[in-house]
Amino acid sequence: MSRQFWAVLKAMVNSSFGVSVARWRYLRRRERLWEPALVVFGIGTAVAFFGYGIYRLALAITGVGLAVGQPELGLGMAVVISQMLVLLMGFFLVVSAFFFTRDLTALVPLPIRPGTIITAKFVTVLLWQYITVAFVFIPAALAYMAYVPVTLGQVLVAVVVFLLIPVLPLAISAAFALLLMRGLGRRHRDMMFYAGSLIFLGLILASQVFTGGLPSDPADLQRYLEEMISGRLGLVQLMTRRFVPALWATLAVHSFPGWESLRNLSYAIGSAGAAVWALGRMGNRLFYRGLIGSDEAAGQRRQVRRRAWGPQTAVAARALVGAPSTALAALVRREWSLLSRTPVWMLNNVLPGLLMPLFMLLPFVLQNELREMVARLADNPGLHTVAALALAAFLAFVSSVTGIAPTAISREGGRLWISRVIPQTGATQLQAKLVLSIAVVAVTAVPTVIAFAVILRPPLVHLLGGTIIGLVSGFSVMVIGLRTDLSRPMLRWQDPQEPVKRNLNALVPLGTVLAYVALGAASYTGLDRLGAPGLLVYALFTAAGATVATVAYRHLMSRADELFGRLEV
Amino acid sequence: MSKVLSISGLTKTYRGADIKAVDDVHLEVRPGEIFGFLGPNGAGKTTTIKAVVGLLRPDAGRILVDGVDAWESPLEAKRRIGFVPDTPDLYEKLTGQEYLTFIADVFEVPATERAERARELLEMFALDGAVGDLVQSYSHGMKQKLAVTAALLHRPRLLILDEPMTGLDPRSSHLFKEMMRRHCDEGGSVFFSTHILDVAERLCDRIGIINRGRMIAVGTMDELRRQAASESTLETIFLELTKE
Repeated sequence: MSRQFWAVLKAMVNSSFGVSVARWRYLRRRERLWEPALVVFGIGTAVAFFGYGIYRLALAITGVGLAVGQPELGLGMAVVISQMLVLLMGFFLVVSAFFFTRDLTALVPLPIRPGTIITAKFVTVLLWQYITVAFVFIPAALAYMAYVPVTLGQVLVAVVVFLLIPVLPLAISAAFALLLMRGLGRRHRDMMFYAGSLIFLGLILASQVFTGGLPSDPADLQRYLEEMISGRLGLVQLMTRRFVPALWATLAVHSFPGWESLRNLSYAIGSAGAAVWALGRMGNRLFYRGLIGSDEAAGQRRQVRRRAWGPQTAVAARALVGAPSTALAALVRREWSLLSRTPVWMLNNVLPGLLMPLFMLLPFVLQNELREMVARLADNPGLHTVAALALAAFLAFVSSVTGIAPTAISREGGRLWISRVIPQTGATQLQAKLVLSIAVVAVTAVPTVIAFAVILRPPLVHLLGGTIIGLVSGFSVMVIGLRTDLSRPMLRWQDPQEPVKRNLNALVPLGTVLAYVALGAASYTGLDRLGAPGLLVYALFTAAGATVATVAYRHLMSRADELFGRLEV
Repeated sequence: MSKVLSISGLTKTYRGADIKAVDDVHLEVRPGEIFGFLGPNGAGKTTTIKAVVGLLRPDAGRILVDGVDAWESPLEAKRRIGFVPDTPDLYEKLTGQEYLTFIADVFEVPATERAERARELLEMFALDGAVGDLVQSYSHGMKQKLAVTAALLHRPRLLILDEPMTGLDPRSSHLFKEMMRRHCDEGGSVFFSTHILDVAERLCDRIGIINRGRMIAVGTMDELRRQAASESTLETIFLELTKE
């Protein structure tokens, strides 16, 4: 690795993880010291909440594996799932890091080989991926250790394996991104983003078809597992056959100490190293070809058009500034145009909301057994209310991951001056931001509600009950998110990724929904014990949700002008 | 005669700073005049301008735009102002046309007026061929011209420009000066900050000089010469008045 590489990587890591900003803010200026505490609390809560759930699941799977003589089953599944997640999500992250960041204008003119830039960017994204992998792999490793006594050497190998897990899938995503970009060029960045989304969905479909081969019924699964073990293929081999490196990683840990462990570890290290090396070579050949030249094309097109147009006629001039519309409509249109044309914002704010329902629903669409099992459960009228409340919780959760509202002010960044000098009230401008957020959440809610109706065929009252509670709660979550961003927006950014990816305000809605779910579960348990009918439950939940939403919205509007007026650019 | 812009006692200290960025600033812009606002780097020009257009809340003082208090009736004041910042940070993901439509809508420019006005300004700045392209493909000068076009679309009483000539080629710079004079001839006023003293000397009806947050001189070129007791150029007067 050259000295140049380390210099570029250091700058990128500093910038991407906010190391320099944190040092300057918290150590030198000693400002906003509550922020690190909030981050620790937020991460701690998330780790405790999700990590424990994954650990319990991993324990159960490892237990099943142990029963059939394969305790490494949970570990193998964790490696496969981690690598799938990195492969799928990593594509968008590398595309955005390689082609949509503003540091490119500073990096490209420097005397650095494009492969060096690509490799440094790749490593920066890779470091972020360890967070995802840790969530899946560490609970599975702990579950494995709960059943199988491990040595210190095995732990060390597990650490190496953990570090290797995301390398190969991310390199595959990065290579795909480079090839795609080379084909489409920078002028078609938006198109590429959508093409990438389609490919992303295709990969999810493929992965669901793969897992769709496993029976859903627990009794059948047990029999199926036994057949697998006694048959030609081990279960782990079956799980990992689409990702051979996952098998190497699993066996490196499980077979330690011994020749097999060393052999598989060597394969894993070798393949990861080769992938990074190949990526650097590809970067040298392809990176700049996909990146450079777009502006020349734009200039050429503009000159041609100017000659073709000639002097503007009155009719053409009328088209220049469009037909008049209300200020609110103009503000909403602006919000949508900016959001939809900035791929990293779509990726972070809209895509999770669209993909999450699909991701959850695909198993039901593809697996007949699962669909039938759920349908049988749905015939039990006692579960209708629980299912409707689960729908409500899911809709509210989707609202919280759709980060349009809690980053709405931050996304304006240096352009906030425009919003501040136009003669429109803060309330109107916030309403426009909320309208867009509501519209996106409503769109993402449609497939969820339809699928819920098709799979569970609930009575209309339950469907409506769950949907209304979910949307009302979701609305209050958006309002709370926007209120947070209005109070402390992240306006000073250079890279459009920053206000959506490094913005703590986006975590507030998630925390709010977790609180809603906890409160809702406790309230429903109490109401159920009292024998409250479903209709009463819906009425009470809707009233509670509507009260919170109304109070939050009225509070936001009452302080909108004052808080908007305080924003300083 | 009523003033288009009247600033009295304007004071602003940034959070965490010890020194006042602007300190008890008083100035007026009259109808039909071009007022040049000069000062060394960090003197308080941009802070003053930001307070006038509503981007910074002053700690003290009063700002009247065409008789309307900019902080008591901000929307009314903003309707009377067209503003172009020092760096044309526009929505890069909108086309020029979409940006102008947005501005026309939020300023509620009537349908009959907006097309004619847009045609006139776009032709003047030779932007008519590029208006359909995304702003991100524009050069610095084109962005600056688009920002000025947007600022003039609603025929503001007061046009405020922060360092408008920075980074412009001679032809664009000439266009800007012509535009400012034409705006005043049509009954508007212009308040702009600049470092280019030659331009200020030739173009401005009156000039104000700010240094270390305080106004140190205001008047026509003749009045400034009298204040400085010198018959020399604006550059010499400026250097004399702002020397350490």
